Amino acid sequence: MRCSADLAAFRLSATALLLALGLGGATAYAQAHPVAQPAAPLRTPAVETCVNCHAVQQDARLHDPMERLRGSVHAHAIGCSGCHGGRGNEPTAQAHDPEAGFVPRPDAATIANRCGSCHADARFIRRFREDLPTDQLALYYSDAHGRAVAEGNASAPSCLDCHGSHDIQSPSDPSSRVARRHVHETCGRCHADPAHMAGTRLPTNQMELWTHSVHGVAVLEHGNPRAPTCAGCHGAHGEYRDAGGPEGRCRQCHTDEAAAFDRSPHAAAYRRLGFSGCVACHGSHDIQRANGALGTVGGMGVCRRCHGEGRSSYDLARGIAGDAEDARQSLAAARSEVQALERDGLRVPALNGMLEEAEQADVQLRVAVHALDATVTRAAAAAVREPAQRARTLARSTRDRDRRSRHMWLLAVPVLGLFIALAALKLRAVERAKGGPG
Amino acid sequence: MEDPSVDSDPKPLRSLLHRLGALNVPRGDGLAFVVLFSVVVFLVAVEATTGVLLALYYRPSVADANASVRFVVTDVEYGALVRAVHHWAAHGLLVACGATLAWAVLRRAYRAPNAFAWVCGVGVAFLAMLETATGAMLPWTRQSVIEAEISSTLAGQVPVVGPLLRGLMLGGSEPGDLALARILGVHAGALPMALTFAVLLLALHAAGCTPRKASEQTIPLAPNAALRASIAAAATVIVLLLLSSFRTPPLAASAEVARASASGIKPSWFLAFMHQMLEAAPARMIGIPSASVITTALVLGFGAFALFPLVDRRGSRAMQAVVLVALAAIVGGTIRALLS
Repeated sequence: MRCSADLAAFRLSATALLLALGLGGATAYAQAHPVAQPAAPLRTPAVETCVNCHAVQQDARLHDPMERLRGSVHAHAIGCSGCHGGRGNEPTAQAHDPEAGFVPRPDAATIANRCGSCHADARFIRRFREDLPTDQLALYYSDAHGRAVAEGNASAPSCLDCHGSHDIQSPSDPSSRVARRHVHETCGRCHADPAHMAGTRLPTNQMELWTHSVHGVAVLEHGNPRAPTCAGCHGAHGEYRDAGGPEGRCRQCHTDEAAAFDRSPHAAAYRRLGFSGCVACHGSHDIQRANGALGTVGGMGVCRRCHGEGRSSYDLARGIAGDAEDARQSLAAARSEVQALERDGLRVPALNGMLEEAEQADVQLRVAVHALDATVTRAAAAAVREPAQRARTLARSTRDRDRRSRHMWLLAVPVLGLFIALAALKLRAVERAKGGPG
Repeated sequence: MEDPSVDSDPKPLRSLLHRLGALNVPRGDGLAFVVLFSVVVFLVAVEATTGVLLALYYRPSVADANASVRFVVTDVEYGALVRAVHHWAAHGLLVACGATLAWAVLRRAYRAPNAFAWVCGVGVAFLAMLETATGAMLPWTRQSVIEAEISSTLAGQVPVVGPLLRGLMLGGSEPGDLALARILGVHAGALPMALTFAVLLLALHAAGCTPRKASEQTIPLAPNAALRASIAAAATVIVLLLLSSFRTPPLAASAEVARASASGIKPSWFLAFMHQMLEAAPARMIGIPSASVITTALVLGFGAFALFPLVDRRGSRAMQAVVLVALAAIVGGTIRALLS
């Protein structure tokens, strides 16, 4: 009996302790990640009278916002009082009633909550667009920007700092501040400004590095819709906070490379040494095409950092880097010869097929090198070299044939030269017969 | 009863040739003009002939234009030769027009009674420039799109008629199928008609001209001047064949309008001096966008260049010096742009 009473008391104590721990943990989590409680939505009245006064104001700060709102994505959804609060249908100064929620210049937290009052309200927002997400406010407060705002950091960004205020546009609009071609500039307005970032440990050169990186060039120069902007890796509102760090984000797109890397001896070594898998070799914001700094035959590029001459695995690293670089040079030479032919208007469909075959094999080679297996890399490199070599041979024969046919036209030159000589003789005879050119 | 005023010659063509053969050409300046003008006329004829052959295969749409030009080069018998000759004859025409105008300025040959011939000559040069510029857009490469955008933007800056011109050129807000159809219409329809008309006016004027001085020596048009013109034309063909054999006209890949970016694009050599001016100018001049100021200045400058002999009828040395300096600036700007 005694034993079972003790057991019951122990169970009760343990349950109470677990409950206390659970509640405490949940409270601590909630404090660390303040979950947004969107305010009651501010709705614009059917007839808003703000324009009556603001349209005739001389001060540009008082009438320009109305003009900008007209061209924004919100133009047909909300009016002034939708964000600023107050009594939108009151045609007097009573419209600016603080008790009705009027805020002329809302602070960051107020902005986030007022945007969220509509954007976190699925029932409301679906009236305008079916596909708009409604979790941005919660994500925002779970990530660095939102947490900083919640902690009262005055320089932390709210929704308007990225999306704009009155002239806000849809991200799919090319003129939007958060359109793919402008996201880096929008992030860079703060993150590339040393004065703004003073007091943080963050560098301010990421925008510059990304602009010249393989991802930046793909987005800005080639308009590649899949290459990542800042938001592609870091998330726009905090989506990727728990995505496994920088390496986790790379793996979302580069799945084959990641799988090959996991099979390689690097996987265990990097874990042991605490390296970040992708970033350790490729960098982060300044990622370049892998046939540049990463794998030159002479210098072995980045491999030399750990596998330089005299170090362990030097021969293996040199062999892999050499095979890969040799194949890529072969492909680059073939591509250059085919492009030169195309510039001259010479079209050989078979050449494009060979080049495509070599480029597909190059993609496989780029994956294969991550496994760090010399045999696999050698086979993948041969698969690139073979069609590239065939393309070069065909390109050269096409060029020679074209040159020969062009030079055939020159047979007309002696005939024309003969005509000129005969005409000159005739002219001389005519002028002599008449006693000179006159 | 037969009207005596009506030519009763049963063989009018022979009569016309006989009359043309009886014409006399002044020695010296007149003879040089005949040779240069014959090269211009010959090149215009080459352009017309090769242009008609190329038009048989050309498809004026953004999707097909580049492929149709490529088809001519690779799949049509002698297509590469025809395209190369068309390309080099266009540039040769510009050089021949420029040489004729420069020679006329150096010799002050624009003076009365040749002022009208000068205006026609400048017109021929301008039309030839437009022909070459529009022709370069037809393969619809990245360069074509950028040049279409830049030229329509500049046309939009012309005072008063600018927006109308831009709308007419593009047929929309950005270069596309409609703009390409219009470029073809201008290149193969309107401009050749205007060019033929200007060349005919110039020929008729030259045929009706009399020597400036009664004492000036002359030679008969046929056979003396005609033989010289034939020799010049044959030499022109040799140059065209040599260029076509050793210098293939470039043909870049088709442009995708959305991806067209101006980086790495160089303007055609005959537009390089304008590009230099636009690059060197600040964003705004006297409170107006510099593109607008420069376009207005170019339109006025070109008008003055074409019409100055009508004002300066006596052909003063000072005016000749001004025109020579302007020509030297254009040539210098072009060379600088080509070397940069």
